[in-house]
Amino acid sequence: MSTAVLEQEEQLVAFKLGGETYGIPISLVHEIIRCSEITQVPRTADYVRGVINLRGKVVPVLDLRLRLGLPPMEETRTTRIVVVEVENGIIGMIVDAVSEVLRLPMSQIEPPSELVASIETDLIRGVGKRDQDLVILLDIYKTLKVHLE
Amino acid sequence: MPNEEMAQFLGVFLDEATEQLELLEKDILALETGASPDLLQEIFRAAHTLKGSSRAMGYTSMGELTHAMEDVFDKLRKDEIGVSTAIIDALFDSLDLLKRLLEEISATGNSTIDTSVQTENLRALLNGVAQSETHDAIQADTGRGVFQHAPLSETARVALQEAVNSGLQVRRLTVRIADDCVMKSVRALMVLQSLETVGSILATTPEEEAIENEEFAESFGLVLATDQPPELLRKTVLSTAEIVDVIISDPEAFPEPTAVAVPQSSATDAPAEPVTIAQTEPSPSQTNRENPPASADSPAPSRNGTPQAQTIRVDVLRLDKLLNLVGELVIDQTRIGQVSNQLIHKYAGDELLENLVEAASHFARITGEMQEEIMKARMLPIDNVFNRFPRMIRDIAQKMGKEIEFVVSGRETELDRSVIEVIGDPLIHLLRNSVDHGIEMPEERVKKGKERKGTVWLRARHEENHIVIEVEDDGNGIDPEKLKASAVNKGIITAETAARMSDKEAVNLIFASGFSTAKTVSDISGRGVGMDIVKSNLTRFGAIIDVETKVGQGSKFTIKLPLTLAIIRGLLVRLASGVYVTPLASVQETMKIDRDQIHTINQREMILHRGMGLPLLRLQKLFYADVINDPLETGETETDPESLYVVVVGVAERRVGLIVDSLLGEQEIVIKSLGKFIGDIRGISGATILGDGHIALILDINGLLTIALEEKAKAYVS
Repeated sequence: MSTAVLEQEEQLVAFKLGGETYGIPISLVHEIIRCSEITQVPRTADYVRGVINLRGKVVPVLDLRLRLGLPPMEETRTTRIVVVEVENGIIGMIVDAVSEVLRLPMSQIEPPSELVASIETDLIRGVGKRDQDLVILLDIYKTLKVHLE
Repeated sequence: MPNEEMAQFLGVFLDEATEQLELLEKDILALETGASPDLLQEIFRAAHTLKGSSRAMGYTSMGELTHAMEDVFDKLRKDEIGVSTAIIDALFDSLDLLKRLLEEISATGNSTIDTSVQTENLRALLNGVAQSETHDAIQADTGRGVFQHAPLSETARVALQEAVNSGLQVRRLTVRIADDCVMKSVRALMVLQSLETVGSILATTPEEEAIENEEFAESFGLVLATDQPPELLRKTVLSTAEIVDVIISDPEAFPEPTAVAVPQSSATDAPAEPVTIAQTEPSPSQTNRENPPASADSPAPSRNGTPQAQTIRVDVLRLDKLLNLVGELVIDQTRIGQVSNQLIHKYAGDELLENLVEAASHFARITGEMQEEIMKARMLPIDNVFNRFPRMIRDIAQKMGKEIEFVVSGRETELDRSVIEVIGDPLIHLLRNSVDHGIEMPEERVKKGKERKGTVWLRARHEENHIVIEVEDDGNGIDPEKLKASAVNKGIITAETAARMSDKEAVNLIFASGFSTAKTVSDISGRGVGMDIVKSNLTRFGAIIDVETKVGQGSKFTIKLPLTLAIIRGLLVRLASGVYVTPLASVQETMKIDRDQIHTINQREMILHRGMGLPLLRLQKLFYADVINDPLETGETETDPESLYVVVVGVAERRVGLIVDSLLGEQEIVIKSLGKFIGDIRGISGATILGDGHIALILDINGLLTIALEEKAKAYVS
C-alpha cells in the first residue's frame, strides 16, 4: 500500500455517456449543474445546444453525446451539465449522469486503443483501468476546440 | 535608484512622456503654420520636461536627443533662428525616434535605440544657422573672481516679484567650486538641489542646462527666493564637498527692478528692501489680497497659479470590471422590479409589498445613475484618436506633393473607451483615402478653378444617442459611372445590374469587397485594406457608414457610432425559437400587415411599403431552415395567421422587414458575447440576459441585411 500512496495519480470527475464511463481532470471542472433552460442559438454546429444563464454569465452548452458521435438521447432525471473552464472560456457539456470523483494511479492509464472504438479515438487521451471497469480519459482541449466554419 | 523604485516610476514616466510627445507633435505641427511666443514657450517647456524626466530615469540617449530638441526650441524662442522645413522635418524625425524609444522602454524597460544620428542632425542645424552663437554669460566668467551675473529673464523677474510679494527674501548667490574638482557640473547640481530644499531657485548663471553641461569656469551664480537666514544658506551650500566659497549678496544689487510686469505698484520697490521684509510682518502696503504672505511651510509659491484638476489615474481594467458589475446589477434590478410588480398585482394593497415596490424603484434609480456615472468615467474626448491625424495628413500630403489644409472640429466630443479603441483604424483609412484619392494635385486644382490647397475636414459631434464623425474633402468626388465600369470589369456585378443601379447604389460599390478604384496600388492607401474592411469593421460594433459625393466637388463619409458598445436599447421580439433583441438604433418602424399584402417576386417575399418594394425576411425560417421540413419555396402563407408583425430595420438606404411572431417592448440591455466557442454567427451579434433570467439573442442587423439583399434567394437555402 505504501508504494501506491507515493505513486503519481490523477483525480478525475467521472461521468456516464451511453453506458461508458468517461473522466476529465477535476482541476478543469468549474461546477456541475442540473439541466436548466437552454436558449437555442441558430446557425451553429449540431452539437451546440445553445447558451444558458449561469449566474449572469452567458455560457455555451454542448451535447457531449453528439460531439463524440454517439446517438442523441432525451434528457432524464440524471442528466447534468458539467461546466468546465478552458482557454475558450467557460463551457458546459451535457452528460447522461455524473458518477463520482475518482483517483487513478498513472500506472493504470494506457494510451487509447481500439478497445474503445465507439467514439472518435483522437478525442481520447488515454484509457484508465479500475478494477474491472475502464475509464475513458477525454481530451478536453480537442473536444472543445473551436471549429471555424 | 533601487530597481523596485524604478519600476514604480517607469509607469508614471511612460505616461507623462507619452503626453509630452503628443503635445510636442501637436505643437510642432502648429509651428509649421506659424509661430507665436506662447506656442514656442509651450514647446520649449514640453521638451524641457521630457529631457529632465528621461535623464532622471537614466535614459541618456533619450536625454541627449531631447536636449538637442530643447536647444532648437530655445533658439526659436529667442528668435535666433527661424522656422524652416528642414528644422520641422528634423524635429518630426526626432519625434518619431522618441516614440520608438518609448515603445522600446515600455516593452523592455531599456533603451538601446541609437539617437546620435538625429541628435547630430539637430545640432548641425543649430550650428549651421547660428555658428557665432555663444553663451555671453560664460564669456563674462573668464576672469577669476570677477563673476558677472547674467541679467534676469522676464519670467525670472516675474517670479522674483511674486516671491517678494509673498514675503520671501531674494538673494543672489555666487558659488565657487574648487579648481581641481573633477565633475564640476555634478557639484553644481548638488548645490542647486540642496538649495531647492530651503528655497526656490529663480534663475542661474549660466542657465541650468549650461551648468549641467559644465559650461562654466569655477563659479556659477543663482538667484534664490527663501525665508531662511544667510548663515543657513551658506552652511547648506558649503555642505557639498569641493565647494570653496559662496558669496551671498543683497537684492539691492538687482538692476532694473521696476520693469517687472506685476501690476501692484506697492510691490515695485520691494526688491530694494533687504532682509528685513521677511523677518518682520509685512506691512499692509506690501500685502495684497491676491498674494497673502507665505507661511513657513510654503517657501516657494507655485509659479503658475492655475488650479490643477483633481484627477487620478485608474487602470482601465478596473473600470471595465466596474461596468460589468453594474451590468449585472442592472439585470438583477430589472428582475426585482418585475417580480415586485407581479407581486403587487397579485396581492394588491399589501403594505409590506408596497414597501418592496418602493425600495425596488429607488434601487432602479440608483442603479441607473450608477451606470451612467461609470459610463461617464470611461468616456474620453475623441481627441485621443484625432490627435495623431494632423501629422499623418501632413506626411501623406508631403509625400504625394499635395497641398492640404486639415480642419478638425469637435475634438472635445466624449465617447466610451470601447468605441475610442475601435474607431482609430477606420478613420485612418478614410482620411488616407481622402488625401490619396480625393484631393487632386495642386496644378490640377488650379486648372479646375479650385483653390490650390485642398481641404480635408474631420468633424465629431453628438447627435441624440450617437456620435457622428464626418470625413469630408473638397476633392474630386466619386464618379458613379467609373465605379460601375470598374465593378463590372472586376466581375463584382454584371453589366445588366450596373445599368439598373442608381448613382447612390453605384457609389456604395466602394464598400463592396475586392474593390479598389486606385489604378495603381499606392503606398498610401490600397495596402490591401479596402473600404469593405472599413465598413465591416465599423458595422461589427454597430456603427453605420454612409457616403455622399458630388463629382468634381468632393466626398463626405459619415459614420454614426453608438455612444457605448456595452449597453444598447433594444426592441424585444418573439420568434418560435425564443426572444430576440433588435437594436433600436436600426429599427425604422414596426407594423402589422395582412398576409394578403405579401407578394412573391423572383421567389422572394416582398410588400409594397410607402411606394417601395420592401423585402421580407422570415427570421425563424432563416435561422432554422434546415430544421423546418417545409419545401424551400418561399412563403408558408397557408399556415400564416391573418396578420403578421413586421419590424422594418435598416441601415442607410437599405431596408428589410423582419417577420416576427410578436413584439414584446423596449428595454435597455447589456450586451454579452456568445464566447469564442460559439464564435461568429451571421445574423446574431451577441446575447443578453433578460429580467426574468432568460437569455435573448441580439440580432445583427447588418448581417441580416447582407443576407437579405445580397445573397437573395440563396439565404433560404443555406
